[in-house]
Amino acid sequence: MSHSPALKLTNGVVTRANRTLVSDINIEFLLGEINLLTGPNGSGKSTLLLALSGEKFLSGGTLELSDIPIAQISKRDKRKNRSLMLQKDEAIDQLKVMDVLELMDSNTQKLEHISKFISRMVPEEIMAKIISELSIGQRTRVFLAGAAAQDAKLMLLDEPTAGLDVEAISELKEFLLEQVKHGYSVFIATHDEQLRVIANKEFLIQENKLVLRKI
Amino acid sequence: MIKLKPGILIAILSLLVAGAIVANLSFGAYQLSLSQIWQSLFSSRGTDAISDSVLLDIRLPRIILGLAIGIALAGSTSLMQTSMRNVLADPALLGLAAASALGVVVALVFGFDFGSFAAFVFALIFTVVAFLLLLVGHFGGRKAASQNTLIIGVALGSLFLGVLGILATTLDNPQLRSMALWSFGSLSLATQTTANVSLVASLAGLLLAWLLAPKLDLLLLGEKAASLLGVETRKIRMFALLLISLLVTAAVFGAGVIAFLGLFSVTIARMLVGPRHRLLLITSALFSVLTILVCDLLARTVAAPLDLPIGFFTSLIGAPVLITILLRSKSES
Repeated sequence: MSHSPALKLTNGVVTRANRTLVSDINIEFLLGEINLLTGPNGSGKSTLLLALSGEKFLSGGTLELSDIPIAQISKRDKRKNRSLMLQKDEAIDQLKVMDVLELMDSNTQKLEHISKFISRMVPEEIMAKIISELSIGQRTRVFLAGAAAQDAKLMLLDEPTAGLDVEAISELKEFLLEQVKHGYSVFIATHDEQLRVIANKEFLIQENKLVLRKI
Repeated sequence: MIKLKPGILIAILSLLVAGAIVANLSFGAYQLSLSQIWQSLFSSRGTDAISDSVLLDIRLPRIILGLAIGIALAGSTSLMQTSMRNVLADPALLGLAAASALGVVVALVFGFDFGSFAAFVFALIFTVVAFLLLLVGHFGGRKAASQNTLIIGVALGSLFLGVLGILATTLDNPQLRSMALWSFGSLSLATQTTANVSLVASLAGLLLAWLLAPKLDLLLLGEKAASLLGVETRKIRMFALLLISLLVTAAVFGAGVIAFLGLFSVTIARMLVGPRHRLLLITSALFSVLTILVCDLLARTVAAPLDLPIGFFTSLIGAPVLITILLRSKSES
């Protein structure tokens, strides 16, 4: 198992609508680790997660993915570096499930446990459905499968258990453990305590600082 | 809604378009039989001077212009809806077509001819500028951005049409006089030159849109997701803006402002084949071409020998559709 950092943020500052949510962030996610960010709704978890993707809200600090500063990563390599779960959106709502999976797909040979997870999350009978016809749980399953299909080294998952039934949650846990076993890194923002058992580290946002929670 | 395989749907639409082309060649103030059409088109000129002239100088350019406009309006509308993330975006509704028409009229005021290259360039520049104004409203405002955009677009459109009307009616220029009717959308000024220029511009636009389609598909996943998947969203948007402006100009240059046709055909096409762009571009273009050919047939024959603006008929069909969409999306949310 490799132990180079999948993501490293030094002196990070997360700002949203001119308000500093979290500052002095110094974190390192290693390959082969599951890290958790917990806290109540509205505490800024999703914002921090997006900031770590380098797409938005990061107003200070140095973000490196696999030891390369984010600014130097080519667009082509970005999609191999990290995957995000899709968010509910008007445009996505019109797409078919199979369209979403096809658009997200890395088009590379995937490890067996990834292919298996995708087919478990998205059964054949919902492939032709339009996203807006899905229940919340089904939508989460599709977005999880999409993130898995992108097959990036770092998975950034926002509330991956939203609406999932017990069976799906245990399949998700199993998949994530399998992922880290194969050297992937996972970062999850959630208010769901159920995922604590599989986490290596757990973070909390407290008084505008990111702190390590004692397990 | 009936579900057809996309391939079958496209085949049916293509046949209908072919039928509409034949009908448009044949019917009108002067009736032509199929054999007359065949002779004029495929054997050497001179067998029947009148039917040759009706066919080759009047009807064929109108059909070619109809094809061009259908492709251009459907293409520009699909691109607009994706890049502005609004299923109500339409070049006529949001004032772009009016800007383009004003560009043509301003070119005429400066002494250039209708159908000239200068008129095309003026129209293109006016469209790009109007689009930039629209985007200031779209991304400048805070919440309810899509509502703002609609309001700003409609306001800009009526402003441009107002200026156009004043220019066309007050200045003493015979060419400008015919522009007032043209601005409502009409194929009646079609010449072989305008028709060919429009067709080349719209086919070029369609080809570029086709090449851009995979990136546009990723935009459907949302801004952040698309960016994460390697799409340079700003660049794509700017390119789409230029492409939309080219297509809108291609349509307006020959036939003025044809209302609702883009919105109408793209909305129906999306219901039938979904939002993936290659399929959407082809299907909506076929719908749009079919509608325009049918509407032009009506425009030429309903009050023959009077040649009514085709825009009247596309509005008659388009307006109810727009209302239906609004009611549907309201009941869903």
